Amino acid sequence: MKDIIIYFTYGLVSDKELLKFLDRMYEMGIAAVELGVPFSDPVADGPVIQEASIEALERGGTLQNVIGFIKKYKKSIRIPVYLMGYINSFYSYGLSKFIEDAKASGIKGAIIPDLPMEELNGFRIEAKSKDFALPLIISPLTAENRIKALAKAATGFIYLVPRMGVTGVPTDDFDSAENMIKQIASPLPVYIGFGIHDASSLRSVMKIADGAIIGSAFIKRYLDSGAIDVPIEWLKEIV
Amino acid sequence: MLPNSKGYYGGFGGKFVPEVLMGLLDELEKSYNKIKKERWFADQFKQILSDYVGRPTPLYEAKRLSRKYGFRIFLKREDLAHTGAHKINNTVGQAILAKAMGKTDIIAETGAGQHGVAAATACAMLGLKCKVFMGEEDIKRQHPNVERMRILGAEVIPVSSGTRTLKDAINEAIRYWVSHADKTFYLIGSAVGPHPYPSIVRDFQSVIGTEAKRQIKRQTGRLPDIIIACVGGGSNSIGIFWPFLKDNVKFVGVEAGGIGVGINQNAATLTYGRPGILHGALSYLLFDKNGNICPTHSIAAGLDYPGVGPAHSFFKETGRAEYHSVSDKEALDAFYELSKLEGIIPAMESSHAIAYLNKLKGILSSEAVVIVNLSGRGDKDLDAVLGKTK
Ligand SMILES: Cc1ncc(COP(=O)(O)O)c(C=O)c1O
Repeated sequence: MKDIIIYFTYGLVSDKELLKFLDRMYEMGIAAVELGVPFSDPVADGPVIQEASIEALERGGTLQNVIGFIKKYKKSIRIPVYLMGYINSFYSYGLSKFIEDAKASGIKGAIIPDLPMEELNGFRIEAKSKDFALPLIISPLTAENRIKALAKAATGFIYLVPRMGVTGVPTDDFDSAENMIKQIASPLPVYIGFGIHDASSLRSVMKIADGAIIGSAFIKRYLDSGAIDVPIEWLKEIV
Repeated sequence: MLPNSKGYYGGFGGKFVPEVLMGLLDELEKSYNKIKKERWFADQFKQILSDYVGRPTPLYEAKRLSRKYGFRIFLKREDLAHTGAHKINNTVGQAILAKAMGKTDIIAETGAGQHGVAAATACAMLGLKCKVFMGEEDIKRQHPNVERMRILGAEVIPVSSGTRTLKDAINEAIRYWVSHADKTFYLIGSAVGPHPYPSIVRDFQSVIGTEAKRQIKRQTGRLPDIIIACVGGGSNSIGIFWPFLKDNVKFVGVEAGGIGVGINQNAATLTYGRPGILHGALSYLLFDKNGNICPTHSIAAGLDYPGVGPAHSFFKETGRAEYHSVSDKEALDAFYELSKLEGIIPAMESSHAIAYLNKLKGILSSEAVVIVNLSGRGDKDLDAVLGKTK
């Protein structure tokens, strides 16, 4: 069975609801959840996650709170949790302190789209030594030798983006992703994310990668309805 | 060497961008390093600056202003450059570079509209397509510049996200860039952004300081004691400072003090901020305890930005430059003062640099020589100014 990972912005729903949500994801066989850390200036995100971010910020969604939440419910959370956020949130928290606190709370790792492989080397080294995953993104414009280097430097999993652009733009063309996967020689799982929006795009991804990451299409259904059941029902349908 | 090979000025700078842009920045750096050494490039840049932009801009000894303050004040007249601000030096340089790299689709962000106009102008002249991202708030307060951009053939794209000012215009430009990375050249308007942009912009704006150095020596027989420039992202200031880097000349950068010290009351990044990461670089930044970027305020749209270029963060930490802020009110007073005393209506941004003169009154001797970078002219600000003084 291949993996499905769901992205959901932290702070959109209450901690109690989120806890229930994480449990349902686990029951459904979802492999992991990425909790988005809301940020004021999410440059890699399209309108849906931007809107989710703003709403979550207004409701007090912060890095400190998400770590506190995972820590508090550590015993009852059965699904692996990653964070996804922008570097300034982590930088301002303190990078060493972040690794320490996140690791202690049970968070598996963090995906940081505006932190390329070359920057903040000390952070990467420290994370690796503490077994805290920092997956890296590979884009369709990433050159072949760089794909090799990224695959080597990544920890946890490899995040393959099938097209240029921000989150949320639906994608149906995975040809370039398929070619890139052939260039990746890594024991880590390769997940495709950005643009998976229906059963057919999900099926295409599952044919070529180790798993799929679904974000905007899921969150959009929550934002439109205000009910977490709506995206969950949709997910059941497309899986 | 500043910056180092990874694009750092001391601890500041770098390339904090999504992976899809990394290859492009690499290509940009290589192309720029190659092209800047080529004879044709230097020649073309120089020729456009002289025949089209109208350089060198004068260095004018403002005698009545000097009398009032009690020391010699020279104004570097970037307001007389084509389109009315220093921004054109950089847009011409980057547009030639883009064209040499085979890129025909240009995007730019703008706050005051000065960079947008300068970008639209350079693109018109060089036959490039131009899209300018501009916050809706700025579109309102800088309307004449919006029309100028359109007349020049640029497409103005209103930005309605976030605080609807310069920061959000940059966010939106980056989102567009990420989405059209293979075809688009991002023409950044200040000495900010990921490496190599801060250095490219610095190099193109250094013409200001290079000229000023020659001019002040000719006019006074010596170097100035102090150079004052306003700091938004930091391009006019780094441009006039840089050629004096190794000289015994004091640098003063003046930030937007706005209406107070609180959040959303000023845009004085180096005065009130701390190191953080936004728009591709690690540099001083205004952000809250959770890492979220603070909204800013300034009467001058071109200074209304929570970040600053990495070279200035480095100058601040090493003490090479001093950074101060002046309030909206002080800048407004300076705006009228320069207009009445010298017959020069300065941009609100530049008025901040003028306003700092007041803090030197009674401190400098009558022989002291001070250069103020008059980064732009004030025509664009009449609505904003009249609204405030009515
Ligand atoms: C006339 C003028 N001066 C100064 C600035 C501030 O920018 P920088 O700090 O990059 O010179 C602007 C920005 O729009 C401007 O229009």
